[in-house]
Amino acid sequence: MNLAAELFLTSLVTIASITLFFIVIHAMINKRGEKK
Amino acid sequence: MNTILVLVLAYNIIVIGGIGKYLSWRTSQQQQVTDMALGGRNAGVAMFSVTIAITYLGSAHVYGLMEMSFSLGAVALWFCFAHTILLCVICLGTGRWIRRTGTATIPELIGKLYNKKLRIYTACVAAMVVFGLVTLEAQTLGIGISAMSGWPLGWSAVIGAAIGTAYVCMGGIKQTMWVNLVNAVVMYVAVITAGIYLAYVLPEGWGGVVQHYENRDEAFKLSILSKPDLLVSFALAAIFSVVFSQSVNQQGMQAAMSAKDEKTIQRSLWIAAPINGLFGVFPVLVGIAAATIPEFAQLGPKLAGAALIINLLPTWLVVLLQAGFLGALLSTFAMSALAPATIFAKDIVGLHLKAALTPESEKKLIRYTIITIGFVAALMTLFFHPNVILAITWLFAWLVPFFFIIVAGLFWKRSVGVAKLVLFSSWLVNLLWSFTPLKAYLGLTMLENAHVVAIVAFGFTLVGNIGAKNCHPALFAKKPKSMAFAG
Repeated sequence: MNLAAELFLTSLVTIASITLFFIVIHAMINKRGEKK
Repeated sequence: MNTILVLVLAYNIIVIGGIGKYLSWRTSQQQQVTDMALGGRNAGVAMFSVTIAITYLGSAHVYGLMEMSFSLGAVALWFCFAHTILLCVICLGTGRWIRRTGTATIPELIGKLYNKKLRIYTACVAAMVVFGLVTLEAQTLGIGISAMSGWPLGWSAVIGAAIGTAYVCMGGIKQTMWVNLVNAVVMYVAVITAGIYLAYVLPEGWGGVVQHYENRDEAFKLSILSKPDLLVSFALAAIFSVVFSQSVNQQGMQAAMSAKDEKTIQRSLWIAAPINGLFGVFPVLVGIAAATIPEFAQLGPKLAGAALIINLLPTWLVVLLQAGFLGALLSTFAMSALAPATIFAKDIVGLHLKAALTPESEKKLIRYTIITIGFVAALMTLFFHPNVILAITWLFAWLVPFFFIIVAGLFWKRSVGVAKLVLFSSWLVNLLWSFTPLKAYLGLTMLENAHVVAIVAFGFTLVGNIGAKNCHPALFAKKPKSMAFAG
C-alpha cells in the first residue's frame, strides 16, 4: 500500500474511533441521566 | 492575469452570484424577508453538516497543514483529529445546548444565563475577536490569490475580502450554506483526484518519498504516532487549544442555531466529522512529499507545498484544487463576517432599542454591518500582515472562559460574581501573557495563551462555584430528564 492510501486509511480509522468514542460516552451519560 | 486565477475567480463568481440570485428570487416568490442571521432555523442534516465542517476548514487547514507537515511530518494530522473532537463536542454538546435555548448569539445566551451587563461585555469582546479573525481570513484569501496571480499580498487581500463580503452579503447564512454544499463537492472531487494523481507525478512515486525519510532516519515523520515527545507537545496542545476556544465560538454556534432541531445537529456528526477530518490528509501528503524534492524543499515550508501543486499537477486540476481551497477560505471568511454583524445587530443595537427590530430592518442592519466589516478588514489587511497562527492563538484565548461559564450556567449553578471573576481574570491573564515578560518570569514559556487561560478559567469556575452561595439554579436543572449531554 502506498503512503497516501496508508495515511488516508489511518486517518479514517482514527476519525471513526474518536467519533464512536464520543457517541458511546454521550449514550452512557444519557442513560445515567434517564435513570436519575 | 493568468488562466488559473481567471478560471478560479469565474467559478466563484458564478457559484456565489448564481446561488445568491436564486435565493433572492425564491424569497421574493414566497414574499418573505431573508433571515440573514439564522436562515429561518430550518437547516437540515446535509446543509448543517457541510456548513459546520467547512466553517472549521480555514487557512490553517489549507496552508498551515502543508507548512506543519513539511517540518513535522504526519503528526500534523492531529490538528485535523483535534477538529474531529471539536465537532463531536459541538454536535453532541454545545451546539445542541445552544439550539435548545433558542438564542441567536453567544452573548445573548450569556445574558440569559447571567445578566444584561455580562451580555454587553461578552458581545464587545466576541465581536472584537471575530473581527480580528475576519482580518486574518482576508489575509489568507490574499495569500491564495497572490500565489495564483503574483500580485502584492495587500491588494490580493482586498480582492479576497470583496468576494468574501459579496458571498455572505447576498443572502446571509442560507447563501453561505448553499455555496458550502457546492464547494464541498468540488473540493472533495479535487482533493481525491489530486491525491491519486500525485502518485503518478512525483519523481520517484510514494516509494521514493518513504525511502527519503528512511535514509535520513526520519521514518517517524511518516506515522501519525511519530515520537512520544512530538505527540505530546503537538497533538495534545492542538486538541487543548482547538476544543476549548472553538466549541462556543459564534461562527460555529451560529450554524447550530440555524439548524432545524437538536436531532439534526446530533445526526450531522457522522457527515461533518469525516468531511472536516479527512480534508487534511491531502495538504499533509503534499507537505511530506515537497520536503523530499530539492527543487521545492529549497523554497522553505511556507511555499514548498504550493509550488509542488502548481508545478507537478495539470492546469485543470490546479484550477479545481484552487477553486476548492478558495471556497473553504471564503466560507470561513463569510461565517466570520456574519458573526460580528449578528452580534452587533442583536446584542448591541437590538438590546438597546425599546421595540424589537423588524425582520426587514434587521436584515438591512446586518447587511450594512457586513459591508462595513469587509471594508475595514480589507483596508487593514492592505497595510498589516501579522503572523496568522500567533494572532489566531491570541484571539482564540479571549473566548476560552465563555466555554466554562456557559457549561457552569447550563448544568451547575449561575453566579454572576463568579462569571465576572472568570471572564476578567482570564482576559487579564491573556493580556499579561502576551504583553509582559510574565511567561518567561514564571518559566512557563511552553504554555500558549489558550492553555494558560483555560487553566485559569477552569480553576476560577470550579473554586468560585464551590464557594458561591445564593446562586440561581442551572438553566437546564429544572428539567432533570434533559440534563447534561442528554437531549
